[in-house]
Amino acid sequence: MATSKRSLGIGRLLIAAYAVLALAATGRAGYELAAKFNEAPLPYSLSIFSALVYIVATIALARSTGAWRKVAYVAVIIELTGVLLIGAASVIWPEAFTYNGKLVKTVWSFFGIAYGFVPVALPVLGLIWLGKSKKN
Amino acid sequence: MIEIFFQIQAWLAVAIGLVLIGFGLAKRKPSLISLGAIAVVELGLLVQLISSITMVVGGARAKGDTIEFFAYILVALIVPLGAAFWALIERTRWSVYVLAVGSLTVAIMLARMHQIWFG
Repeated sequence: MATSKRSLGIGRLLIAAYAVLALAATGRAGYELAAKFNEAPLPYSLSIFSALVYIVATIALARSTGAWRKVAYVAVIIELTGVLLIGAASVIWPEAFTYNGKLVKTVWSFFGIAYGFVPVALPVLGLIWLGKSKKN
Repeated sequence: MIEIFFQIQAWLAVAIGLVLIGFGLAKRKPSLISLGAIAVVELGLLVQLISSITMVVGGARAKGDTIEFFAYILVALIVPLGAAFWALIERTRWSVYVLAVGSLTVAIMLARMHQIWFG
């Protein structure tokens, strides 16, 4: 019983971290959309998309039962795929993110370096937690 | 944004975050002390908001984007509120860590606001 309570507690912390990232990404995307979307549509669309995924992941992890569990899995896997793909693309193919000679970044650029690599760490922790909490 | 006030506020948020992690490790539940600490962080942000509005009304502008600067303050103001709300609903030691995460998040957001304001 003690271990299940403990993993539940750590799960709360994970949800809090997701909530912070969702807030950060939403704030960023909202500002980009309102102030300068036309300057760089691709990176700013990615910001909006990542913000939505983080919001869904936060809610799904907080509910974490029944169908929400599946939603959480899907959201976390989309996130991991996104941060790995866009992280790699930003390194290999920076021209795709360059507008008027300026490199425009997204939440997932360089594997989330601007957010202390939290965007690449969270989905891995999320998957571990979803896997572990299943046993309880 | 005023440099000296930024320094005090940012380091205070870091210190409060670390103390709250200590409280979490000591397995303390949310108390008046930990909720008061996060309230101090929120109060600092409010002072920052009011002083920055006053400066902008007086003609000052951020080196970066002034709108982005205020977007950061407004989002930062939500963080301690959300963390405190969480701690009030769920009175376990894990909520103390949530308060710590909230305080450290504010510190990081302040550092970014400093970048936007001073360039």
